[in-house]
Amino acid sequence: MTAVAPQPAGEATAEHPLFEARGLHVHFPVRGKKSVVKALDGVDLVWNHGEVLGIVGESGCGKSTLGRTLLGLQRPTEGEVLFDGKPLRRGAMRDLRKRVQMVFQDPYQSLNPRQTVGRLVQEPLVIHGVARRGIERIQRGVDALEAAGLAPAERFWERYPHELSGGQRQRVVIASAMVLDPHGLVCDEPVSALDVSVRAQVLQVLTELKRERGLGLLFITHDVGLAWALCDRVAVMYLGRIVETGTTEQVIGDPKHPYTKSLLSVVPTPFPRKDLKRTILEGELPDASSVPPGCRFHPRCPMMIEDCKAVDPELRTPAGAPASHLAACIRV
Amino acid sequence: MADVLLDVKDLAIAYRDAKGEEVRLVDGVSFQLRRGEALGLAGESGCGKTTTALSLLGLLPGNLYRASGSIELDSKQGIMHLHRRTERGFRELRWANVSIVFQGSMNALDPCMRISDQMAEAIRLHDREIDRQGVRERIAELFGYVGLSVNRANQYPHEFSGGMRQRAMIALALACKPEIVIGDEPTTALDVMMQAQILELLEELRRDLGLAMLLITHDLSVLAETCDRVAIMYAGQIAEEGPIDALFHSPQHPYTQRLLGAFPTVGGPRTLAPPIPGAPPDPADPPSGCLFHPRCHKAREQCTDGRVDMRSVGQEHGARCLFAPWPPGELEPLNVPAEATSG
Repeated sequence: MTAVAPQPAGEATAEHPLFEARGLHVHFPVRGKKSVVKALDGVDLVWNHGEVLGIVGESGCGKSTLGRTLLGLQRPTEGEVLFDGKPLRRGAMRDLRKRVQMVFQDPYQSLNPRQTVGRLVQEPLVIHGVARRGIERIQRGVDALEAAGLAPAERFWERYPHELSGGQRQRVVIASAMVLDPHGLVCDEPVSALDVSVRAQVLQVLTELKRERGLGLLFITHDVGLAWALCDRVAVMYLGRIVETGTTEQVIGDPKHPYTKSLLSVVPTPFPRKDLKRTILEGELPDASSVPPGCRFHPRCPMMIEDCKAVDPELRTPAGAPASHLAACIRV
Repeated sequence: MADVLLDVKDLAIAYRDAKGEEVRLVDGVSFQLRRGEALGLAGESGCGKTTTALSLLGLLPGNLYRASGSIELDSKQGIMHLHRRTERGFRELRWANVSIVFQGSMNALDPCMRISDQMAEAIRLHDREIDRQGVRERIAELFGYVGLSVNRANQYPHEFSGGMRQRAMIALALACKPEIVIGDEPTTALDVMMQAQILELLEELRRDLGLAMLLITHDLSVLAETCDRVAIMYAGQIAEEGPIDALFHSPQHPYTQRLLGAFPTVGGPRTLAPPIPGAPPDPADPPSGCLFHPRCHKAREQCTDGRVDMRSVGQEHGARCLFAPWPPGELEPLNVPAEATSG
């Protein structure tokens, strides 16, 4: 009954991006009030096959909502999501899930504590009716675990999540996501909950999967250093909207939007940057139920001028920048 | 060495397992904290950094005890031998000499008490003579230090945002004019912008009030802009200690080098440094020789046997590695950005 024949990873159709978001709005009603929280407020985004796309921003900027909306876990209030060139439909969710999987931040909460590792990795195959023969399922489970760095898989097969360390759990999550051989993985802060040396191990697994299988990654993070090392392209979000986007070298190497500059200047690093002046923004991220008029960043912006209070800027190429580099600021 | 405020020598903290054997969680830890200095204590979870800090306040959980070593504090009341103190003795110095800011400020504040009452309680406990007016003035002063509006002093913790609560925690830690403030992951639960605000606040307070600070974190990058010196802990020992620049730019312990590599830096190489394989050892069953050798990319035959002591590798810079100091180029940091990043 599959309308779209599933394609094996790696030889995906090149003419369409993996995902495309057009004018995406997600508004949540606030109980007892007339106002709504605008988690996403007009997002356009292209995520290509085999691409590592970083979504960067402070907590509450809408980056997780964006990931969830792309996967159909959250219905957009307005706008549409195209998956491989076709609009997301309720009936096509099963096919979507088979080809795009998700890795959440907290591996302690995303594994069923009452299932063994062996069952956990086979479950997606059972749900999607792939590899109907038991032996084949086990083989694919073993392969997925070993690809995720849990080798030899027999050592982990009969264990329960509580018997594993945080890093091992996150690798089980990655293995279960990868067992269906998806085209894309949405990773929502996949290493924030992990310890330093384990973090590097998990990141290595992800980059190897990307290199060997042409896996696309949507990497949601607040860690700009990680985005720098891992991503091909980056989108910076502020209050439900993308304020700057382009290749990693463009956005992080040569930021144009004052918000991006400020964000980059405050991220702690062992080797502080000399080319950016440290600009700590005062106050906190405004409430997404009362987005400031004009440019949404103007109340905290160090470069604010009178016009910023009136004009809601669109994404455009800043003067002197390459065409792929876009920023939403009237002053650049 | 008149400027040494806190002197920890050969500290060991242990518990007894079911068979009655001593298991050391912290072993042979020595460091000094000078007046007005910020020292960072960094390492992965379980390396003993929090245990070390709690022992300075006499706050060790019941099953842990100090197995050896001494802790001396050259306080405003004279030299204090913290290792000889009982609970009652510690109670006098907590907040008044040494105070601590924890990671989860929501759990550290009493949800049923107004912020001002919680502060008044701490102030009164250590200054019996102070009158109501005095308390009120002190609270206003403390709120001023941490950039909170005094109008909010009578609110409850739930009315504060995460960043404001952390500010209130810091104000509370300063209530009795301590000499040392310990920050145990004080910014880990906060967002980047809020983290920057809090770190800047701590820095200002240290400068203005002449505080000494012990900052405990797993995030090495946080230390670069806030600390003068760092001690890197691994499996209950200090693996490397030194001034921040020396340690970050020419690490002398393979663990430090790889740990730093786990923090990719904007402007540095756009690749991931090789991860450290495996996991830290079980304290009940530590490896022989150098504790890091099973995971070390530079390990050789000699590392598997015998005790490894701290060696001096430079000005106030020491590493617990048989091969330290390393020849130049052998332990290059992995992610230093090119100096000439175009601005």
